[in-house]
Amino acid sequence: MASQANPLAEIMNRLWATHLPELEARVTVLETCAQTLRNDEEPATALKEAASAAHKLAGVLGTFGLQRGTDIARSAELACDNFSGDKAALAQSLEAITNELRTLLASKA
Amino acid sequence: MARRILIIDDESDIREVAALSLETLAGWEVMVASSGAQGLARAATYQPDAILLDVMMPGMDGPTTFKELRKNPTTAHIPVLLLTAKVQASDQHLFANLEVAAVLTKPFDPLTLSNQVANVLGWQ
Repeated sequence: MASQANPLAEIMNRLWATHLPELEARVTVLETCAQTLRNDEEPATALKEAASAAHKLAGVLGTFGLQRGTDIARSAELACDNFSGDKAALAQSLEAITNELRTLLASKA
Repeated sequence: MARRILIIDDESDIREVAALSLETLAGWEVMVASSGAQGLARAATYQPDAILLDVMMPGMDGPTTFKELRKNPTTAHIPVLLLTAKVQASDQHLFANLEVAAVLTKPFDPLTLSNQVANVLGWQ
């Protein structure tokens, strides 16, 4: 949503740089959840934390111009909130989403 | 006289972008709070013209904060706009019965946020 031609661009870029570690940490929470599922551990806590992290990512990435990031973070949130019990399937989905999120974050950084 | 807005959101990135947008593009005076409890206190003392209130917050969430704002005679009159990333139909029950001025969705466009708020509140 925020373009380079807008009057906020320079400050938005600074805010992006400031908050990038926080955004990356949220992606790490999703990766940790995927690993928990892969390890066949009890996932309730990891799923709750991942849903929260994905919710926050979905809410902010589009504001920084990464609408695709919002869309896939939202799908991660829904998947964690509606976990069906298939750990391998959700782990695979989260891994794909986090890989793409890492790429998106790096592309803007 | 510049409008005064209170932003209540636990996420610092959202607070900072929203504040930047409203201050820079609209020239409004912005105050922020990082929790529902802090927001209640600041609303009472600061008496903003409107409040942007996040829905999902740890501790006191947005709907609860809204109800507390309405209970207090010093803040009951202040228009509240909810700001939420909960956009699924199944989430609408979270704020369906709240008499808020509007529900704005995240992510928001920092270039148009002030216009959205102004349109809702008739500040154009």
